[in-house]
Amino acid sequence: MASAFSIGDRCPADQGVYPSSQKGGGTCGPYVVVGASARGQIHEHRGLDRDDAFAVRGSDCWLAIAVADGVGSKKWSRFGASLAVEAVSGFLAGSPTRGDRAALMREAFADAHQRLLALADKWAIPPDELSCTALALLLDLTSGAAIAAQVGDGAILGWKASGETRELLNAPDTGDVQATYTINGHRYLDHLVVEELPPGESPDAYFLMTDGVSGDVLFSDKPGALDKWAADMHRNVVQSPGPGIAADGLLQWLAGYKVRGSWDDRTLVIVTRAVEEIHNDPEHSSGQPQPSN
Amino acid sequence: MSTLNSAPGWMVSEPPGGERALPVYLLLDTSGSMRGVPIESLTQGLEQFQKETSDDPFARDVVKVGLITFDSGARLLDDKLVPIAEFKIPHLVAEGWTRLDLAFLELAKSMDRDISKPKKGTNQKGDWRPMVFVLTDGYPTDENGGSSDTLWRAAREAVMKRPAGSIKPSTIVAVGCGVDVKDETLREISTGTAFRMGSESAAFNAFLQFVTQSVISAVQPGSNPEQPAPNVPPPPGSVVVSNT
Repeated sequence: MASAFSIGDRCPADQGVYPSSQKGGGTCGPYVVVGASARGQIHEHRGLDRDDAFAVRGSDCWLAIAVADGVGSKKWSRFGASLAVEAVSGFLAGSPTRGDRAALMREAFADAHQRLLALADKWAIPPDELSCTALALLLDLTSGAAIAAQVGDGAILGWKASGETRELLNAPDTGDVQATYTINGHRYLDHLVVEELPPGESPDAYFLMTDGVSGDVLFSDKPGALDKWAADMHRNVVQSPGPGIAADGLLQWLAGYKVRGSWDDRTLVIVTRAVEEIHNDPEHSSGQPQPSN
Repeated sequence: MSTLNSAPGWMVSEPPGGERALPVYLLLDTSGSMRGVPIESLTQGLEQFQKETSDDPFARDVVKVGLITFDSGARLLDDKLVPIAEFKIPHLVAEGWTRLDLAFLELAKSMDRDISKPKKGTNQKGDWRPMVFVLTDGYPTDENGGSSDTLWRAAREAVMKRPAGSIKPSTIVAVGCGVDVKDETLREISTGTAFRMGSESAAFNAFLQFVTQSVISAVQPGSNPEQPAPNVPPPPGSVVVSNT
């Protein structure tokens, strides 16, 4: 079992250089983790930075994943996003195991919120200059129990080898379908949604994504399109020669796929149980991933 | 359809996709006082706006235009939002009074009818919040041509203070041309940005350049819904009335 597992973005010190893409992969306990983040085509065209970030931290017992999207066309929002994912994943992975996981998740978001305010104070900029969303998943490597949380847009999906894909969290209806919510907003708690998944209900794979990806995969009138996409992505990860190569493939895919009107930064982290783990699970005796053609 | 990928073992279908538009409403005063150079210049400026926005590789995919002209009445061109590439400049005729209130009512009707909200399980991603640009050369009137602030204020209120779940504009930019427009009226019409300009041909061209730059800037993903184009300077030669 791996320990001190760490991949993804870090907040550059003193407003330093932020990489235009990020990728990483590895194994942690029974799970394979692959993440990548690509600068959007419009940012590239206009010479702007990537504003997304992701971070994954693991220990012998836990895997903590966070993704974030800097929003509002703010000059420093990429630093907000990278600080948010570092803070949330680091807090979760570094906290002792205890009963109330929902409270732990809320503490992690509160800690990230405070760190964002502190950074704005240190840099003498308004807090909304660091505006970003935040999505996180904490996974118990032993029991398979999980807890997910989200402020703002993007999505966390759960996929079962039997074929079902579902969004694990539904943002509260605020009556404003076009509003953007951020973790640094002073009312972020009003928009924080937390959901626990007991071990028996845990998916075989998780997909954490910013809205640059969720906007492209959640909206289709073709029946089964989301299930097919999730199954394809899972298959790619488990059939790659290794997590590092899978991360290469994921980054290339994020940077390259074409959807009309979709040019935002794209960030996706995939966490899946290794194939043999799924096969050994009696719940999935009839639903195994298919080989690629 | 599959994506080319050099990573071994990696092959994936294109994501399902979905559609999203950036609605841009132009509320243009075509009252009698716009006759002559102003209305002709406006037509030329619209042609330039259509061309330059269509030339932008990102804006052309998403921008839809709602052209609402107002005089003694108000009408939305083609009764719908039109993709920028298909936007045909109409023959504009200047006549009648200045019923800004009716233009706001047309705007509200179109926002309810023509702008989509996100709906998972369909290809509706949900459109961006609409941008609204109002150009006028005189004081708003009632049906008899008398100056009236009551009617347009109520109609604007109905556009901005809408029931929960309704579509609202991200921004209303108010632009006055000529000498008959009050700064206070422009400030009240706008949600923050308002300016005055002349009524010569170059001023209209500069105004529509400003619209073009604002729209292209707002296409940026992650832009602030309350202030979609914060870095676009007002047209050269204009007098800024409000810029908050």
